[in-house]
Amino acid sequence: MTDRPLGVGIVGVGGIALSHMAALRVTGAAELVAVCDVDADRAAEVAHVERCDAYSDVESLLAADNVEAVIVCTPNMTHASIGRAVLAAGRHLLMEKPLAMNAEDARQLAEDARARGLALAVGHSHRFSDQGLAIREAIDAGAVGTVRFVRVTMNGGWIWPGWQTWVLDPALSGGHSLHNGVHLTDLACWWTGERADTVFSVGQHATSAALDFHDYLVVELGFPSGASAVCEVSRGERPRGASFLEIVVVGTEGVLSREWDAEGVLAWTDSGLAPWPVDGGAARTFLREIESFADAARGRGDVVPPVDDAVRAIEVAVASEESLRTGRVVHVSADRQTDAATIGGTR
Amino acid sequence: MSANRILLAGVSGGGAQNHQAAMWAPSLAPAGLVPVAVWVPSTTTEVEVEHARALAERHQVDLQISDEPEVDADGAIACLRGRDRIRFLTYAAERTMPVLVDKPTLDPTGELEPLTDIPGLAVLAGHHFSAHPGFTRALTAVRSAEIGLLRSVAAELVVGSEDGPCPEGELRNLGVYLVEMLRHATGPATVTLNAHATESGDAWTFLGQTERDVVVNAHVSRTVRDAGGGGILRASIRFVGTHGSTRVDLTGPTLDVRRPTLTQAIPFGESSVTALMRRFAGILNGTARATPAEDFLVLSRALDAIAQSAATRTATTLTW
Repeated sequence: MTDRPLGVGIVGVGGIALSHMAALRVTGAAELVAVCDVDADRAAEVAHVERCDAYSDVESLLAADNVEAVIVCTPNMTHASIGRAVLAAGRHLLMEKPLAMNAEDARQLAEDARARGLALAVGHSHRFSDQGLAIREAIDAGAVGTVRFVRVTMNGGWIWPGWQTWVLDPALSGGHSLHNGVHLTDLACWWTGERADTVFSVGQHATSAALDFHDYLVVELGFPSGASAVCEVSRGERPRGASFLEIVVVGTEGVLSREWDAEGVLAWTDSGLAPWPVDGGAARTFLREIESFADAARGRGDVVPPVDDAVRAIEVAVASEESLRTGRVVHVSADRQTDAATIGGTR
Repeated sequence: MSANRILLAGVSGGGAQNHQAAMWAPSLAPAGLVPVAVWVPSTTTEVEVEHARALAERHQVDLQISDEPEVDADGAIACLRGRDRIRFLTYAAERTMPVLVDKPTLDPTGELEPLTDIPGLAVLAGHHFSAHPGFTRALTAVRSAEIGLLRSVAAELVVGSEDGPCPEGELRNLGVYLVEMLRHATGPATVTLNAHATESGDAWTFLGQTERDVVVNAHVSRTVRDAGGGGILRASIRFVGTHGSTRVDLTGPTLDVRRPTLTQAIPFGESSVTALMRRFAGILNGTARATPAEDFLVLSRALDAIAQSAATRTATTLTW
């Protein structure tokens, strides 16, 4: 075992990578040693600012001796192939969600990591948020008894680029269930403490009828105990700056809620009334995530979330997209060993 | 104008509920109504007769125990079940007496169907949340498109265990409040939905979508008896439109009082129960319309379909 910071390379330096880089700047558990991006100029710019190496391709990054672990922040459709390459090169892997585009690839990555004794974490970062952890602690302390309903609502305005973006193509993103829905369903399953066995989803093309992507999505999960969850995620609200986050956990003995204004900062501006987050929350989230990953890579702890949970999130997301297409309830086996999503119910 | 006279007919309810004493009778005066008598049918149990006697004494009115009331009243509040309810509503209709009906869907659909055959029946369901001044404000916003076209409605109701579990299950006891509010928001609609329920029927969830793509979902539950306590733990409804959204806390408006050892929420303004009672007073005065008994059936059939979906773990299509 070593206390030397874990050498981390990041593949894909847009968007979410910025949050990881910010965390790597302040943690002593890991350090950014290399970046790689299809946009070589962008990679070089980041490398200059972060004082690390820049590579033009993944293979070159993986060949660098100082890269012990890799964070993959590339578009969803590249996750499986890049993930396989990272693990084959003997590097620990923190994969931004979703783990893969389908359950088979997700399970293969999990198996690859297990076979090589490598840490495989998936960026279900909400598990590391202040509220996520506080809710889990409250549940564990018996604050509401046995959980039997979870509602997670994360609604906001359009945050993606224009029509050309890969996100809007379900063949590249996996659809909203895979792209963002996994965050909510993972939280719901984590707090419920069960694996969902039914999925029923409805959605809307809120921003434009021409979308192939349900920018407004509501996923209902059923659990073997009779518990249920409703996960609502939207990027189709107006105005674009709209933001609404609400979490409700109903148990046999009480209700826990994280209201939309829970952070206590409200702002009245020309745009109207909005809740503002307190400082530092997002930073703490990604700092906890990278330190948890580093601990797992060093053999000091387990990955969070457990890989099986991340694989399950893919199974649920795929079932959700199936439910959207067919209008039916999709049954997902609760058995950790197998799943073959079957279709039940009618619309 | 003298106050309208109200007959308090029956004291039945789900589980240990006594809405006549706990909810309806206390809200008469704020709505300008006065009780004139308490009546229970001859078939009433001894326990309920005692409840009725206590109610009559508290409001200093006569108690009648008979097959039919002999009372001169302008309207009635009926906390009755099954055949007793049907007989009383027939009696009321013959006298053109509007009736506020407590928990109609505690009776199964088959026992509500005869109500539609009673000529001249004027009723109002005791679904007070639909009269909540926050809900009615939000509903105005929906119908006038202040938030654009309606896209989604989500409602929750969680209560403490005080009244005890309802033998008919919380879907028919409390869930009906939410279904009615959703229906007010969407208007009559065809809904495809999927539902879940606990084995004991004390927790229900459903998610659906109408033929206009409006998403509807609701959760209702009661905490377990061991948890103790009562009251409403959570009651809210949220509307999402094409151009905005609004959320209503149905436990409000409240003042927040914090002491070193106690935190309280003190209601202020008009409660949903009082608002419903004023609406009933309007029916008596001719300034508001009663609802058709068919509405009870529509809601009851919707609840049947939701229950069927939960039982079979398959999606179903219903109209409401």
